This record gives sequence, structure tokens and C-alpha cells, in this order.
Amino acid sequence: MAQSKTPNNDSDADTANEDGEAKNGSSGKTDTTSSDKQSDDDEAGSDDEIKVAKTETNAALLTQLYQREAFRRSKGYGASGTGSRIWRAQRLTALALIPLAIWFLVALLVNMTGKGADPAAWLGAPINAVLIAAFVILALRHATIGLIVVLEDYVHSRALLTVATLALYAAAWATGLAAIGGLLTLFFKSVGGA
Amino acid sequence: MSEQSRMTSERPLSPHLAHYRWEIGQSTSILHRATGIALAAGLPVLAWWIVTVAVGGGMADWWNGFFASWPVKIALFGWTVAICFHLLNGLRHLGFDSGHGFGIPTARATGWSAIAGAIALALLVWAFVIL
Repeated sequence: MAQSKTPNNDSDADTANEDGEAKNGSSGKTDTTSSDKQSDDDEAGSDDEIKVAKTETNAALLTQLYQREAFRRSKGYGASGTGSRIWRAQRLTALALIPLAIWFLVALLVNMTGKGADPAAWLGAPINAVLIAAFVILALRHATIGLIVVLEDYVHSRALLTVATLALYAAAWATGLAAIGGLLTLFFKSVGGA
Repeated sequence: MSEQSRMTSERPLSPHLAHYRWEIGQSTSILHRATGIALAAGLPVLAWWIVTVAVGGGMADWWNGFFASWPVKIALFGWTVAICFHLLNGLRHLGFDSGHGFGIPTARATGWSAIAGAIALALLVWAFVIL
């Protein structure tokens, strides 16, 4: 009964409750004679009071949340707070990797699988060094986004997911820095002749 | 209360992979993820190769024999197939992302051509490498 009441009826319920309290205060006789009806009213009244309080708090909270969400939406963000930035980064790195990966695959296999292959000279040649650095950076960004999705799918503990994600970023940074450090070394060796 | 507990305990679960009739789409999806993971695992190897070549010495020489050996060449062929498949299926996904190719016959055709194309491309690349 109380649950079916609409917010419009809440004021009525409050009034009824006040009436009941007034009756309680005025005489005990009224209270005893109409005890059944009285207790019903009291229960309904107190339920409604709690319900009204809850509804008001929730409404305020919901308004706050809605405004925050509306702000994010107006900014193009979603619940993540970063919007489609990561999604777009994955697609853009994919686009950039199309020519880079084809070049890297063919150039690597052609130059490095033969008999007289000279990896130091090939990796240190300026154009190769720059393109390989670009390939490694873009591939690492593309791979970390993809691997985090895999982690999110299979790691169900929040703590483990955080640890795994951080470890993944650490590995990606280590890989990138090692590759670029090596490429720079080979680049300056080949350019300086030292 | 009972309603809620029933909802949490007796909720129907979505059938798992084995309950569905096989479709090419599920294979390309799984292969895309598998090749992605494998190619990502190859990046530290690439970085390690670059570092050892930069450092020079015995380790750098070891790689020359490594690349020239036949088991490694076969593994590299597998790597080529993986990169070709991820590339072609990635193009398919870029198509999906831009709203194209969702028709079932189209999705099936592009799925099969990603697999066949990957093998064909890998063979082409290696024909180019060997010849």
C-alpha cells in the first residue's frame, strides 16, 4: 500500500501522521479505540517518511550524477572519462602500421635472411633506424591497448588487473626504450663511422 | 529479498562457445586476438635483437646463424602469416568500424578471404625473399 503511493500523496501521508500523533498526545482513549486504524496509519506514515527522505536524497544525488554525466557527454566523454580517445588511438595506430608493417616485414626478411646479412649496417642506416623506431613505438601502443582489453576480459580481480596492466606498461616502456637505445647506438655508429 | 537472491543465483547464463554452431566470424575473431598476442610477444624479441646487435660481439654473430637456420625460417614464415592475417583482418575490422561489411554473406566472404589472403600474402613475401 505504502509502496504504491506516488510522491504526490506524500504530503497527505505526512498530514495523516501528524494527525495520528496529535491524537496520541490528546487522549489515550482515542488511541485504544481506534488502535487498528491508528497503527496502520502510523506504519504507513513512518514508511512514507523514510521513503520521502530517501527519495529526496536520491533525487539530489541523481541530479548531481546526471549533471556530471551530462557534462562529460557534452565534452564527448563517456563513463570512462576518457571518451573514445583510446579507441581512436587503436585505429589510428592500426592505419599507420599498415604501410610500416608491410615495409618492415619485407625489408627485414629480404635483408636479414640472406647469407651476407649485416644487421648492424641495416639497422643503423638512418631511414631504416627512423622507420623501425616509428614501427616499434606505434606497434607497442597498438599492442598495449589490445593486450589491456585481453587482460580486462580474463583477469577478474581488480587488484590483479591493476598489477597486470602496470606490468604490461612497464614491459612496453622497457621494450620501446631498449629498441630506441639500440637503434640510436647503431645510427650514430653508422653515421659517425666510430 | 528473495527476488533479488533468485536473480543473482538463478540468472540464465549466456551459452558458451561450444553451444553455438561454428561460424567463420568466431575463428577470425579468435585468430585476430591470438595473432595480436603473438605479434606483441615478438616486439620484445625484436628489441632484444636490436640491443644485441648494437652491443656487438658474440651475441650479434649468434643471430646471423639464428636467422639462417631452417627451423627459424619456418618460424619466421609463421610470423609472416600471423602479421599478414592480423593486417588483413585488421582492415576488415576498420571496415566494420566505419559501418561496412556487416551483411552475413559479406562478413563470411571477407573472413575467408582474410585467412586465404594471409597465407597467399605470406607465400608471396617468402617467394620474394627466397628468389
